[in-house]
Amino acid sequence: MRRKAITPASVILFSLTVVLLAVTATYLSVATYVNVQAGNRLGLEASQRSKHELRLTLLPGLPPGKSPKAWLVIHEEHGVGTLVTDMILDKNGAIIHRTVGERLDEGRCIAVRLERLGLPRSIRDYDNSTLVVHAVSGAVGKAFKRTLNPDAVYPCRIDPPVRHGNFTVNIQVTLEDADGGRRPCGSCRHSVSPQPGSHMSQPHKIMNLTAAHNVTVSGSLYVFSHWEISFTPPQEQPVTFTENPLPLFVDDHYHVDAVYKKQEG
Amino acid sequence: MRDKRGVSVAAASAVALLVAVAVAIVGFSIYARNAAAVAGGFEKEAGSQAVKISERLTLVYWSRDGRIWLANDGTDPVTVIQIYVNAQLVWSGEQTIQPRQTAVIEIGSVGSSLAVKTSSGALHMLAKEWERGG
Repeated sequence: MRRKAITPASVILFSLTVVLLAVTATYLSVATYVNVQAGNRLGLEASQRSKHELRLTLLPGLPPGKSPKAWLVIHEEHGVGTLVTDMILDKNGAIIHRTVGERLDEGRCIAVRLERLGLPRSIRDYDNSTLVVHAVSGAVGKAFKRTLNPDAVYPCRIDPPVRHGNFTVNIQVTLEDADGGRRPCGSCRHSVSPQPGSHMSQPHKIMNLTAAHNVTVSGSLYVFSHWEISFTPPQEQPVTFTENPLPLFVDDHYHVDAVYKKQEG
Repeated sequence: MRDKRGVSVAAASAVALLVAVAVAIVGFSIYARNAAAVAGGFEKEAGSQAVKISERLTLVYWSRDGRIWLANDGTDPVTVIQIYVNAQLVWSGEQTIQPRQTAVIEIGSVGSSLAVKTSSGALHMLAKEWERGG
C-alpha cells in the first residue's frame, strides 16, 4: 500500500507553526500575570492616595439648636476606620496641641465637645483661628464652620453631657441705651419666652427662646437686637446670636440676655 | 509502492510534535524564568513599598513661627535627620519619633514645600493637607 508522503519542508513549517502557537500562549500568560501585578500595585498606590479624607465641621451647639459651646463633628468619608490622635488650634500664633484618641469607624462620624479634649469651650475662641485635626490614617484636615442638618449629626456618636442632672438657664431682659449704657428690665417679663428667671432643662434638649420685636419702657421704644449667652459662672465673653426665635441647645448652664436697643426719635 | 524519498504522515506528525514540544518546553522555561524575574521584581518593589508604608510621616501642622508638627503614622520608630524647605536644607540633627507620636521640630522657616529625610535614606515630600479646601 502506498503511503502519502510529505516533504521535509512541510514538516519544518508545521513544527514552526506549533512552536509559534506555544510561544504565543506562553507570552499571553506572562503578560496577563504582569498586568495583574501592575494593577495590584496601582491599587495599592490609589488606596494610599485616598487616605486623606476627614470632613470637619465646627459648630456652636448641635443642630437644630445652637449654644455657646464649641462642638466638632468629624465625618470619615472614605471608608477607612481610623484613630484621631492630634488636634492643633492656632489662634494668632498661640498654639494649643492636644493629643487625643478618638476612634472613628469607617464611614461613621463623631460629635465631640472640644472642651472635653482640653480645647477652649466657647465657640468665640475659634473665631479667626485654625483648628487642624490629624488621624493615624494620615488624614489631616482643617475644621470649618458650616451648617449641618440634624440628620448629618444624629447618626454620629455624640459626647454625653458634661454633667449629670438638669441644666439651668437663667433668662433676663437687658435694655441698651443710645450711649451704650445697659440695665436690666424688670418690667419686660412678657417680652420674652420663657419668661425671665431660672429654668431647668434636661441636657441636650432644645429650649426655644422667643423675644417680642419691641418693648416700650417709660415711653421709650426698644427694639430687640440679639441674644447674649454666657456660661454660668461666666468666664468668657458672651456669645451673640441674632436669630429670633433661637433654639438653644442646652448643653451646659447658661445665662441668657435678650438685648433690646433704644430707638431714637 | 512506497516512495523512498518521502516519509509517512504519521512519522512526520510525530516528529513535528516532538519538535514542537521540545521547543515549547525550552520557550516556556525561558519565559517562566523571565516571569519569575518579573515577579521577583514586583515582590522586591512590594517590599520596598512596605518599608515606605511602615515609615509613614505626616505633616500635621506648620506654624508661621517655623515650627512643624510631624506625626509618625507607621509602625516603626522613624528618625528624622534632615529637613528641607523649598529645597533648602534648614534643619539637621536626630529626632526619633515613635509610632503614633507627634513631634514638634523648630525649623525656623516657612515655605511652600517640605521634605524630610530619615535615617533609612527615605525622603518624604510632605504637603500641607489642611490647606486643601473645606
